[in-house]
Amino acid sequence: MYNFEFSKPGTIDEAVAALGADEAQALGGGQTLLPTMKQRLAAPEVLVSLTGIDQMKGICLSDAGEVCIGGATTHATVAAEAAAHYPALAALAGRIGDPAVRNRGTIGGSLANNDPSACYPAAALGSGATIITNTREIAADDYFQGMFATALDEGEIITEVRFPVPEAANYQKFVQPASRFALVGVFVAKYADGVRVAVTGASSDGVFRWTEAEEVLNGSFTKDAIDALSPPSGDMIADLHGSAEYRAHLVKVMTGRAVAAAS
Amino acid sequence: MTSCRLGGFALKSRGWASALTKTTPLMGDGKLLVGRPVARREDVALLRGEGRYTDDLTPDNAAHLVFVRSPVAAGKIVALDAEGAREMPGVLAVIDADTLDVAGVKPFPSPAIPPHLLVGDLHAPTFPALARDEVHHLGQPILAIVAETLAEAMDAAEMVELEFEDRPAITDLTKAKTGPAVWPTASDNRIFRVELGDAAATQDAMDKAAHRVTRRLSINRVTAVSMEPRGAIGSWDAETGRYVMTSGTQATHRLAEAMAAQMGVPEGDVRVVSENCGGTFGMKNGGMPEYPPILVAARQLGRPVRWIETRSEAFLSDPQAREQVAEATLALDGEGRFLGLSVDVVAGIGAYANATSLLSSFNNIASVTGVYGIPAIRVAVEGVHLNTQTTAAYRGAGRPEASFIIERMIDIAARETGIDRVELRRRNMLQPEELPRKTALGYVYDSGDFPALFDRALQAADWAGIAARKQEAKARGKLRGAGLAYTIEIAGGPPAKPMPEYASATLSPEGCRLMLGTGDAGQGHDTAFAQIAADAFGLGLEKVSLFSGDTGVVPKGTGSFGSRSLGAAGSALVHVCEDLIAQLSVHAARHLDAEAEALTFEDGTFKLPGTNRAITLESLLAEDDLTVSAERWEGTKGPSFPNGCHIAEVEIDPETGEMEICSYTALEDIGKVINPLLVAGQIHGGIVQGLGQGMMEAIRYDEDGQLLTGSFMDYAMPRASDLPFFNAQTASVETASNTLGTKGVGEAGTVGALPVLSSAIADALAPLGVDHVTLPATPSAIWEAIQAAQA
Ligand SMILES: Cc1cc2nc3c(=O)[nH]c(=O)nc-3n(C[C@H](O)[C@H](O)[C@H](O)COP(=O)(O)OP(=O)(O)OC[C@H]3O[C@@H](n4cnc5c(N)ncnc54)[C@H](O)[C@@H]3O)c2cc1C
Repeated sequence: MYNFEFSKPGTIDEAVAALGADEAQALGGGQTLLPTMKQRLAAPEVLVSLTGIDQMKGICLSDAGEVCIGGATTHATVAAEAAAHYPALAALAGRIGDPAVRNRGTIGGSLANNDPSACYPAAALGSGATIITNTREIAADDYFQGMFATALDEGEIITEVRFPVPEAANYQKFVQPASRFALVGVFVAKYADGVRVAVTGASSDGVFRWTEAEEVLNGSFTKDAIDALSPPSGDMIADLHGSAEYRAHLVKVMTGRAVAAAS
Repeated sequence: MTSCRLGGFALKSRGWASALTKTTPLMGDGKLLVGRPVARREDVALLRGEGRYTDDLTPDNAAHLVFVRSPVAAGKIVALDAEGAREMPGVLAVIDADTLDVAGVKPFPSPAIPPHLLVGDLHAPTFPALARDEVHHLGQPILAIVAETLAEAMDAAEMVELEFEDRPAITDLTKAKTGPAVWPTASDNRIFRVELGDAAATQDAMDKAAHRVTRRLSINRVTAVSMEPRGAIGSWDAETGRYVMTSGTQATHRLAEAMAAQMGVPEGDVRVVSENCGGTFGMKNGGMPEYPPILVAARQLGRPVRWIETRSEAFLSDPQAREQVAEATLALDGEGRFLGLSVDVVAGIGAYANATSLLSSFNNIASVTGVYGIPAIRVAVEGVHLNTQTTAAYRGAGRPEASFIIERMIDIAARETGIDRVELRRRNMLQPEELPRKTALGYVYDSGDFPALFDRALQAADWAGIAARKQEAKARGKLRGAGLAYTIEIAGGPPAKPMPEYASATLSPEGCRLMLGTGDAGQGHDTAFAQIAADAFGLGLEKVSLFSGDTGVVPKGTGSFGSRSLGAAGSALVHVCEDLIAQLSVHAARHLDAEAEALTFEDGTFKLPGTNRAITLESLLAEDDLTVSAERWEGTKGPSFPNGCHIAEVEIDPETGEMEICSYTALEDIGKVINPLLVAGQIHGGIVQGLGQGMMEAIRYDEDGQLLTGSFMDYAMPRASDLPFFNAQTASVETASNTLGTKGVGEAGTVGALPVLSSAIADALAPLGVDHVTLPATPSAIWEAIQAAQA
């Protein structure tokens, strides 16, 4: 780790101001950023912690019935407090990492990082969530722009994420044996206006929607409905943990299981 | 004579808590401590964070050392400029290969192979501590930078300018013979070839066999992942003119000897100190390239120098283990009796080899005989260079590999001949009345009751019920399989003349102080050896203390490896206790007005039989204010052969390849049990190490020699939630090869676990036509095996 300045503002405005400094970077739970800094792979000169900003913490229901989660809310809080409103989302949060990771890691940090194997991107894309920042609202469909790439501008902070609550949903996570991130994770959510299927872990383009599956599931929301589909072909990741074919196969299996569990 | 005590202990994980709470150190109730689940005395300090591991011993005035390591696997160093580093704040020294030369540091002593085993030449290139013109594996140390603080040393390391001319690398064992040569002097990358057994007799057996089953089996390269990473604090003792190296290890004397050779100083001029050691499994036993620069820096600077590796560094720089490909043929007659076994192993070593790099690949290969009467065996082992880190002993050191080969071959032969695998093993198992028995590869199995233990294990695991459990699993869409392995390994060798161990005891009115030459790395020495001495003298456990791990204090030592400590040091300790009782009986005789020879000693009391004259050892020491000592440096009569049966059941999801280990039974004959809690700890930990390798652990390099598994993001470690509760039991037949009658337990768990998991997976996948899944059997590997079988 290199030396850095540290600030812990109490409001979003102060945080935005602090992030205006040269080489400043937001710090959420630090579960991704700190290990990278320890390995000297990242070297921010100023770290602006977001965890002291009460406006960015906690969970509530909007008038529109959306589950609204503050950008600095930990995975553990989501696992516990979203369970009553959006069980599939709470269950996803409850299977991220281990208790230490869940008690520090935040939803904003996870979405800002957009790791291709992370879980939250599947939930956000699969729910058609809205990512709210200090400057604008971004639809999940516009937000994810490939591995570790998002629509966020420099210094932009995720202050809140709004999840429309589906009629039924489920997340199936097939873990990579070492990291226990998703080797393949599939989030399926059924809304009045259609089914969304979001896949994480599998593609080198990061999280994506499996639209062919969505189409057939719109016709019939059953596990069997996807039987006739071939697995998605896209740019599947091939690495020591699984071939491209294996990942593609898992996408189909996990989608079927998510539908079965949700319906 | 041996005494059969089938019935030992039966501790399940669940039983631990109760066993612990029930256990209290005993005193004066006349009951012996040996054999009881005495709670580990060392745990109070360790659990409170009061352990004293290497980094805990860093003195305040220590300087910090970091290494500049090679970022390429093979190449010529065309430019090296450390001037920028030297000028950085806080930098005290930059050490390169020349600095070491000037300081008299020698390359690693060459590895040795017994000449009667070696066929052809041994290719052992000079193994330097720091690379000079060339690098041969990723992470090879090139420079050591010493600074006032760790951050300053790291900052300076970044200022070093290095340029390489890359060379092609070889990391794939199966292509080693024809791939790029790691060294120009060995075009086929061969380090050595060793041959054992009787080739002609084996060929005869093959010729007349009704069945010959041939298979190629590969075993994955793994790394130890000790919880406490490797590290060392060097200092120079100007008064005595000696180096002092503080470094967690299980074998201080061996390490001191290796370091003296490397430092180019007489034996004894490097003192090695190890207090608590957070895991080594063989990996921290020998000299490694990092140590000489630390000692040289300490001497140059006249102050202690500390290096503790990071976890990332551990993946690069710790010795690795196990990698091999074996081609085996098992020959059977028409009734399924084993006639012969032929095994050719190619073992992946690394770019370099030191004294401990090569042994594991051939030294314990005789385990491949198993518990069976295979009349003719031939084995050839070739070790090859790869552009990788070198290997060292790792829990089992060749035993799990050899056991894996024979047990896998028997399962596969069972399937090919249509003979039930339990029956096939029974038909070939050595009977108790056939022991002692010299096997085709030279081990002499002295004791055991393999068939009885086998039957008990099958019962304990409800082998008969597996068909019903498979049915039930099938209804849930799962494939259930049962795995079986009966393994045997040598402990406390080598066979011809077991290595000696040091034990001493000093009795005084304060109590008993023990000193051992073998070191603890978490096994519980402080408890087990104290139990032995407490019983011998009739003292309370709290009166007995143990010291080990400092070559400046303990006169001699060999170390804890090869499951040898209890047999070697424990037996020596028993003799030390006998010596002391004999010494004290002279004093007691004076008190009791009798001849020393006429006295008996029991429950801590000298008595004159037939009279009521008696004096306790404690009052004798107190009244005469006596301090007496005795020591032994001796080997046991022979090695011992712990053996046991492991049975595991798994369930596989055929759609994804995901596997769950549902149950695990291990029945072990480890001879006399001193402390069943410690035994359970060893067996449980050993099993997990075997299962970890079988399920997920693997060191993988890419074609260019870059490490793909350089962190826990990619190097998979087993976790508690991946494992079932273990039903671990002992069924012991004591051995006469050492005084205690113990056989050793440190490696048994791992030896059985590696083959049993593969056996269970193959059984589960039998309906799909799969008879073996390459290690590690990750979901992806299992799925690929299913696809291949169905293609
Ligand atoms: C052992 C371990 C296991 C894990 N397992 C999983 C898993 O199974 N599934 C999974 O999905 N994840 C997993 N993670 C990742 C974990 O969820 C992280 O918490 C998360 O990816 C990052 O969140 P953070 O709050 O820690 O962000 P930080 O590490 O603090 O920051 C990450 C990045 O996001 C930026 N950032 C942080 N907060 C915001 C914000 N509000 N607005 C804008 N930018 C921001 C930072 O500047 C940085 O670039 C694991 C992590 C660890 C260490």
